[in-house]
Amino acid sequence: MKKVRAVKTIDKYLRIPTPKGVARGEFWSSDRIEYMRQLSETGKAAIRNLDDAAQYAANSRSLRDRIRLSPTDNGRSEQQPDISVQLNGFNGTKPIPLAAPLVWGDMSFGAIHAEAVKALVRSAEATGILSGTGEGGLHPDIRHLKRFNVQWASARFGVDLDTLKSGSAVFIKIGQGAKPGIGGHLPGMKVVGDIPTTRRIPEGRDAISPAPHHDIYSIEDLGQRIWALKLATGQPVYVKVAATNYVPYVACGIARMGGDGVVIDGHLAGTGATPEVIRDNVGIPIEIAVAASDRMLREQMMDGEPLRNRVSIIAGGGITSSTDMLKMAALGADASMMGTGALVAMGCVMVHRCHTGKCPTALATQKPHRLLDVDWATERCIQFVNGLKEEVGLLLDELGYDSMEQLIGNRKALEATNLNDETLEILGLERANGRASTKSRPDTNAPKEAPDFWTPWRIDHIKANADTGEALITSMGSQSPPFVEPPRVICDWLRSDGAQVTRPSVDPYREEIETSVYLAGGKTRLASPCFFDLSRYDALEPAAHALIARTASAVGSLSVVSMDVIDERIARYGRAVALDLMSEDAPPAGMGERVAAFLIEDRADREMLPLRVASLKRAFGKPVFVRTPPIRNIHRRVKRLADAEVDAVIIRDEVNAETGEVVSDLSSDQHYPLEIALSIADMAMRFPEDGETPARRRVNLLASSERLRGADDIFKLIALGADAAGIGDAALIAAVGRAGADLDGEIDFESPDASLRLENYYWAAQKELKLLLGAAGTSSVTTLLGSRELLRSVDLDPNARELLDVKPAGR
Amino acid sequence: MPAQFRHDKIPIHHDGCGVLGILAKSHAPPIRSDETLAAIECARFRGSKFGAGFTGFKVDTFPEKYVTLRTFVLDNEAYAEARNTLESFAPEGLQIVHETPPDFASASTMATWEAYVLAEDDILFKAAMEINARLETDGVFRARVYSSAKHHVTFKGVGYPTDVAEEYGMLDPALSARMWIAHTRQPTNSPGAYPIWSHPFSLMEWSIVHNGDVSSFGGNIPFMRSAGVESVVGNDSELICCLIDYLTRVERLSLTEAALTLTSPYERWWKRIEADEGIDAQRLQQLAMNYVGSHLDGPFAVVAGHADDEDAYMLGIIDRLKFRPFVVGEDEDRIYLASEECEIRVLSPNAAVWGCDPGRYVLASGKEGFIERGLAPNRVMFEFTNLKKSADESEPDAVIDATGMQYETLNREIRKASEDGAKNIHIQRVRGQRYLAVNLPPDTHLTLHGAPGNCLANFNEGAHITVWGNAADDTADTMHDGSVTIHGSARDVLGQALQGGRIYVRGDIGNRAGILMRQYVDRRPVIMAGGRAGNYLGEYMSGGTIAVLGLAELECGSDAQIAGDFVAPGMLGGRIYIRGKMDRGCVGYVPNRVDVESYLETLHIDELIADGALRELMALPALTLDLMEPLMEEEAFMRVRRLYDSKYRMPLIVREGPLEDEDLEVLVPHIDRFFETFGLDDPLKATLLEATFTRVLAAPRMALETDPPPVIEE
Repeated sequence: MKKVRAVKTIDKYLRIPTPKGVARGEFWSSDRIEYMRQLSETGKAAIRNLDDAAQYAANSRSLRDRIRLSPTDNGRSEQQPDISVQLNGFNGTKPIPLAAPLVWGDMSFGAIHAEAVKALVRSAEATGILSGTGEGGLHPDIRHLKRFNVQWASARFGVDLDTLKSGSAVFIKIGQGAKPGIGGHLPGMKVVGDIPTTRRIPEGRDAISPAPHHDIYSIEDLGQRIWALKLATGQPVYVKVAATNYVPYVACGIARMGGDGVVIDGHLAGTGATPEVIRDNVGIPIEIAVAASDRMLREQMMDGEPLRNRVSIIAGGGITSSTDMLKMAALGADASMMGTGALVAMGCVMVHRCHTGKCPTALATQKPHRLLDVDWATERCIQFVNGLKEEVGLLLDELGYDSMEQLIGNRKALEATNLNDETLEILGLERANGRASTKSRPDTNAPKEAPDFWTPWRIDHIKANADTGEALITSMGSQSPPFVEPPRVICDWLRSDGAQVTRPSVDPYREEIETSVYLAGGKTRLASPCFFDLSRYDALEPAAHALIARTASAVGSLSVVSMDVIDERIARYGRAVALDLMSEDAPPAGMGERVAAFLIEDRADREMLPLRVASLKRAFGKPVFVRTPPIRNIHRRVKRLADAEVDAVIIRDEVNAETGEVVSDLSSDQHYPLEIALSIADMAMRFPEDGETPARRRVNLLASSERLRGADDIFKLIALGADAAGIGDAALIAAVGRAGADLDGEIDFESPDASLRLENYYWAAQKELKLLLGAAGTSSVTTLLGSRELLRSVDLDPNARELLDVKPAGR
Repeated sequence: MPAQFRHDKIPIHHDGCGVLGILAKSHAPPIRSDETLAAIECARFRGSKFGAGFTGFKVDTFPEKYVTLRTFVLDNEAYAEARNTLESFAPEGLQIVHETPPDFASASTMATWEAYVLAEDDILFKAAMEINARLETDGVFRARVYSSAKHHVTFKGVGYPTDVAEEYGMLDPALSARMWIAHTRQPTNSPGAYPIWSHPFSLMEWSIVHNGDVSSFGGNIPFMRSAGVESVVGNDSELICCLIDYLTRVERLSLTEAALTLTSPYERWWKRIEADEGIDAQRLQQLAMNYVGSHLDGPFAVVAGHADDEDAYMLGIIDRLKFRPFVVGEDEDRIYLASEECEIRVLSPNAAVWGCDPGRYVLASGKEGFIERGLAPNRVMFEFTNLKKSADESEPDAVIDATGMQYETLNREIRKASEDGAKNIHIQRVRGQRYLAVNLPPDTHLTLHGAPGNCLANFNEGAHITVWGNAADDTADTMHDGSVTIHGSARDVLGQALQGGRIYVRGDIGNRAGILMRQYVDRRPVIMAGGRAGNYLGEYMSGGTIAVLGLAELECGSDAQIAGDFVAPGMLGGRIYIRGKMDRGCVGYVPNRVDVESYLETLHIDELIADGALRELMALPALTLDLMEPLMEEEAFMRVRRLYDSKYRMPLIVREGPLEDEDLEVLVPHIDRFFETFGLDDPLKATLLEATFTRVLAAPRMALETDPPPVIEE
């Protein structure tokens, strides 16, 4: 007998399970949610003046919250400000008037429940804003309404000519902020009921849309699709893209190609399912994306007028309030897009379960036993918009503007005290009154104490990788540095690219992405650019080394094993062992022949090093790697090592032997942080003295750190010049399911489970690396090598940025 | 590091574009510039007024004993500085033989200073680099050498190709050359209207045009800079030209090796290339390793030209993922490379035209003809020529001559005819017009003669379209009903998200055919191809049927594989039939063999696989799960299958053998109709029905049980 559960109707807000105050580790804090609920329940303003607005933004690290609204000198405006805007329809299509500069984010029927879809469209109809279908086709109950756009996405789910012609516009979805460079993802447990029919896909299987549109691999291809849709439907065509490195060029391309609008979606945007590694590492801040796009669209001309006059800009990604809407407008957006915000208005409690289909609030679920009361939800959305409208009016009045139109693109309405000059210039902002001009600027929103390096969510991520062997899928919200959590290492300030429009991303689920690398003139091959390099030999029992060496052999990698611990058992997997000779000149008898490579520490007696290298090579014909800390004169050291004919230089974080703390960071005067030393070493070996072949072509460069957490760090280190990266503690966390620092006698390194988990972790990291590579439009690790162009820094100290040779986001 | 090498100072410019190359065979007369112009103008839709250009190789009016050095200069000051720089190489043997000063009066932005020069290669290279570097400050370019060869001359500027041809007086009288490459540019951003960003990009004896936007740019830049290129305008095409010059001139790679370095074939293809093309896998590994930084990634379609005293060479390279359109053509007198077929058809209505295989290259010379055709060597070509018109073709009730019509006009005319009640519309002389049959009423019959452009029959909901010729990219995207019948071949992305109706193609279907194809309610879409299929056939397919028949191979008894690599990745449902046998490593997701071998060897060390079993496993032709399972103990098998399984993939069931009843039930109605439509013989049909097929289905529960019989409309 099947148990029948009573259907529970959701017609009130559930308790928010997160702690009070701005919870470190989640952007959507309970404070934000409470604020949004207040509006949704009362329909009245909660932020009534600029002081309220400033207080709302306090303590948040997102760029918009580090920018302030700044009033004109004109004083309050004479009349009630006009907060309506118009989304343009060019080339003979109809414009879309909006009663407020707001559209609901595109959330598909499937990602959210039918009742939530209906509530969104009905509330848009009632308040004069716009809603969107997402990539899920059109729910029959809303077909007769008008205030929605129909999405044309890479999998074409649920679209035909009739559908495309309904609503107010067609949105070509190229990218979204929560997963730039990869496609929509509807987990299989939500592909039930009417959803497989509407989408025309098999029931119960994950629906993962292709990462690129397979008909849009270039700007002229996009133009072709825009015009095919215009010819077929007569509707205005907007193009939705993620905020990525080239977004200003993409926006200009869309304008030239005849698109009517550009929808730019940034980090912090919601989603029903996304790989966490993509959500947290790909794409640039929406503030920078909008400001840079608006600026370039105003500079570029077509037929005698700025491109900006041909397109509207809609900006989304973590928009929570009227304040955010006004800031986006001043940065250049005609309207803001709010997706998660609408869900919060309808009761979302931010428990991050959209991708599991087990949403307690009946929003992001397809389970039958909970049902959202559609009238209640519609009313909450309407009141939320009403509250926002009142706030926008009040703030606009206090700022001294008569209309929203006056604010759009008006950077004078903004100032910032807490961003470096480089970021300000990119945003087009003036320094706040009284602030001195300095190149870099301490981040006063940063926490006063250094945070723990291994955050719980990072550890959970590794454990989940080890459990499943798959990339970790998550959904709403974000803890990602540098926007939410404070950055811990340089990598945390760096963002990777999502390819879109000018070039396609590569589908990581279905198309070939290569991760193998050859080292030492082809003598060593790594299946993925990642090897095992645990420094604390003493703390680990031999079984742990055996486990790691065996895993390295199985997955096609390398493991560094010290002379002190190598034994017969480890030597069986010698094909994957790089033997650390410690202070010895030669390996133990019989071991040299069995291992794959040798490793020497470059510390004392440097004159002897070339001789040691030569003698090892002569004796065994195996590659010789040399390990060095990230010292300040790394550029000279790598040249010396290259002259000594080493096969690879491993730059490794310097760790305090007693405390285990990494000492090579920005504050050290002897060391550089690993990322900077790596980048300098790579460049130093590329530019030889006159006439020589660059040493970098024959010497591999590896980067290794106890603090290397996963595929995102590996990806960034390769882009900064490493052939491969070495992991330390993360491997232990994966193998034993707990932090490396807590090693004690209870862990069974001999259990088959530990070995499966470690293999899983390696493969999951490889899959996540493929996701990042594909998103960046690269099909091979080899072409990522040294490709700093694929990285951007966000408000990183410009001195550090220049040493890395990475461009700032927005350039 | 030296400040000028800093990456964060480099501007980047993205282009989309149309490319063209025409090579005259040695017996044939030279090619005129006005012919070249007519062909590239046919791809006008791909370009814009922001840039175009031509390179002529062995142009009859230019002396081949001197280097023709052409430099854009901004003003007289820049000219003087550039000239001084050039003269400063006199002590190293550089001689200026003759020069034509820039004419600033007739130039809108930068003017061309032309000089005939004598110099050794490395001195010339240094001089050109020195001028470029010295006259650039922070992305402001006051002078730029854009052509520096004995055997070719580049003409480029701002405007459509016609504007540029007129600017350089290339039309009256026309110039004649043994080979031309040409380009029309679609910049994503146009940083002011300067000709330095236009294509072709030339360096020493190489000149290239390119369509795409390489994602490897950031890795290629340091490679080229470490090879002595200091100043770049920031265009990836310029970089590709530097790379190819460097690899051939400095590293002395052969053209073949240079092509394989740039395209960097997947590691898993090395063995195949070794077998097909006789290039040692070891050598491929060296190329992959030694020239890291020179491999291209992301989308590119490059036509590169090179000439010496003896001959002219045309090299075409295309990315391994096949992200850009690229077709190859040949007729009696010439060899062509183009973005779109219409460019070739303008000059040669009867040329043989085919698509270049992903990651391969095309190489031809005037004297030797094709050295590489961009195809598998055992490929039997389907030729679309002298087609038999079927007898029952009904009388049209509207005929439109498309000559000279832009796509807007032609679509309007078709719409008008349809609204006037025409149910059977014929179009003559179609030349690349796009979006045909978009939004046509159901049951309208549209017959196209010629080469229709991209996006044919998109969103089709019941119209019947017949093409007497080849169809281009993106045909029948999101088609729900009706039919598309192509008497020639179809290019890439045919029937994407096809959800109803049928597509019959007499010849080949390109890459990514039938991707995202699906079925719903009573809709059972069908794609049937008489020729062969490219890579990624049926990717993420969840319904309907794809059949690839390989009739040409069947007729001549060839056992060549008739579908490309990566068949059915992410397939969830539906059926794929490929006549003949397939290398199992090409079907579904099969990890790189080296990685599986590592894993098996480790299990052997673990003593989970015995010595004999390991030997047998290593000897398997492909390491697929179904082949490995019988040779392994359960524990070892369960471990190794983790390399193959993913939550996001369904296992595929691949079966080789003659068609069984259930297959015949699905296929025979379509095969009958296909043979009738294309007037094919009954004996061939009989042979076909008895032939071996490779059948690919997704996991059992998605397969036959839930699959209702096909609905064939009459």
